[in-house]
Amino acid sequence: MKRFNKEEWIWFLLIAGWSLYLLYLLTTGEIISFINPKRIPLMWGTLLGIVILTFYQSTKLFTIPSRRTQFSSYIPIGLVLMCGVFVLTTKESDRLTMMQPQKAVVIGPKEGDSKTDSESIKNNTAIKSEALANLPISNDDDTSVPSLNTGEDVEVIASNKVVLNSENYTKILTDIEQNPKDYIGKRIQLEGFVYRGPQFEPDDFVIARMYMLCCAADAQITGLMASWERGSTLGEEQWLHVEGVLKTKEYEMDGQKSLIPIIEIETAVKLPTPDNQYVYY
Amino acid sequence: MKSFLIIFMSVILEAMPFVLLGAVVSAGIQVFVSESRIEKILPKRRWIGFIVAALLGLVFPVCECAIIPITRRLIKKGIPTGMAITFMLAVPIVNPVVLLSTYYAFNDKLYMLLARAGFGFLAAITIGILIAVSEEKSTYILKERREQEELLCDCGCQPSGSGYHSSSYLRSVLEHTNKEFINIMQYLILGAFLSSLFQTYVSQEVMGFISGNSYLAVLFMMGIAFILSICSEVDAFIARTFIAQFSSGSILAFLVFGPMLDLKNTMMLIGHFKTKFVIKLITYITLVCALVGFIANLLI
Repeated sequence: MKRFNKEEWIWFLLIAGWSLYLLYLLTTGEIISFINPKRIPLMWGTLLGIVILTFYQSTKLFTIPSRRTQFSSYIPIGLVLMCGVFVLTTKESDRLTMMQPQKAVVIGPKEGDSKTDSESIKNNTAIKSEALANLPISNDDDTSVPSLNTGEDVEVIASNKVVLNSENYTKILTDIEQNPKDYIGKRIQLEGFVYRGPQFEPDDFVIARMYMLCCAADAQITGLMASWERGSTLGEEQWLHVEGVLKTKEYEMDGQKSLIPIIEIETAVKLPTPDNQYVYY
Repeated sequence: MKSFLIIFMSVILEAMPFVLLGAVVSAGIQVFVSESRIEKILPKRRWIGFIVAALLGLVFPVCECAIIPITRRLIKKGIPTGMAITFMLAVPIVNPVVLLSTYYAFNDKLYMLLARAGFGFLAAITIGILIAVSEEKSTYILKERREQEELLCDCGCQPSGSGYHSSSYLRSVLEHTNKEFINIMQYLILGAFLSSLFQTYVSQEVMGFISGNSYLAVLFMMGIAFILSICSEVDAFIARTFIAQFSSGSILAFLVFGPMLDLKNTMMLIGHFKTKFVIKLITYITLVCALVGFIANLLI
């Protein structure tokens, strides 16, 4: 005899809840706080699939209960949904602040370098504690290295002013890392938050962004080193719009001297924390 | 606590499309494909048989727990043990859903996708040959079981012909997808929970000590894969969370070892095969996968 099937109802409510949660994340754009925007079409497909399962589940609400119940399986799925809703109640800026201590600073993502991982792994602890450890070293050989990037970068290099925005941020940062001499003396304009490493000089800091490869779990801090005469007055995580000239500066870390690109800031404007602080792979 | 939750939720959300895809494909396989069809495809010639067995996952992407009862029945039907074991170990790795999710998880490191497919393929064949050499009579390795028990799979899957007695194929597929979705999500949640804990609370000194020793890192990641028991459709997303700390070789060991052996399928192996054989199989899998990790550490 068909009757109210408690187990099927529980799963129906859970899967309907997940449908609504995904719909909310996708329609409000909150999803890009968790995953790379490139994955959004996949998430719409997932939502469609879960909605279909929700409709199917609705056909089982008044059926004969099974002898093999799965109640315990629903608990973690329900708890995760609650966690997801709870996280949304946290402001974006708070989420970033909370994540920072876990993350490494890299100046320019090293795309496509298969050796990067093993090298960075060996140095990982150092990178986490010494933010400058991964800064690019400029040496005489750099002038002989042809630019790996073409097209937009050629235009960027040809102009005297380089403006970094969310769209070109990682590409130009990578190019600055790989070919610093192409950019020395140019005016650089960018936005980001203040990040200081433990061995930075008082007026030096990184104009940083959170860089997401796949999802928030692999996000890390990336950015350009900057120097400003009033840098020490800036609070940690203060958002700035800065403009200055790219130069090089010798930094000594753990007994090793490195010549790194650094922006000598001429103008800096404080900004409110933006809604989305990530730049994406 | 909140940073933990953000990392945790991002892993769940990122993997979710593949949870669903894995559930749908698994449902389709369970409803439409029988092991007699697999038996027909497997060549009788030994060496070609190993290669075909290792590649069958491309056509029949069966999940790693459903594959165990299927393997048992193949052995019962006379498929050589070594070939059947190669099939059992390779299918959860060399299959389109798993490779697609690995591609998405490591889309900035595509060599990980190639390494997973290549080393998974080779490791499955190697272990199959080792089993073939050491086991002469296949039926001795199987436990006697009642037919009813044999049909049940821990993940809620049931082999074709014995599945949910629904009125249509569509309902059968939807029903199975529903069950499989719940099952994969459970293990994903456990995996995401523990990997987020590691990221958030385990000190950098401890992680640095483990990851600093390439041999220890490989064994550690294999241990993690064993305990977490994540379905291979989504384990790449968990592996990805360790990439900042651990070498490519140890991540690869996780990706190859996990689908072959974990807490969940060890229980199933013990249920279907004799204990002596299970111990031998576990030893071979562990040694070969550790070797894969060590070699990969040197190569990538």
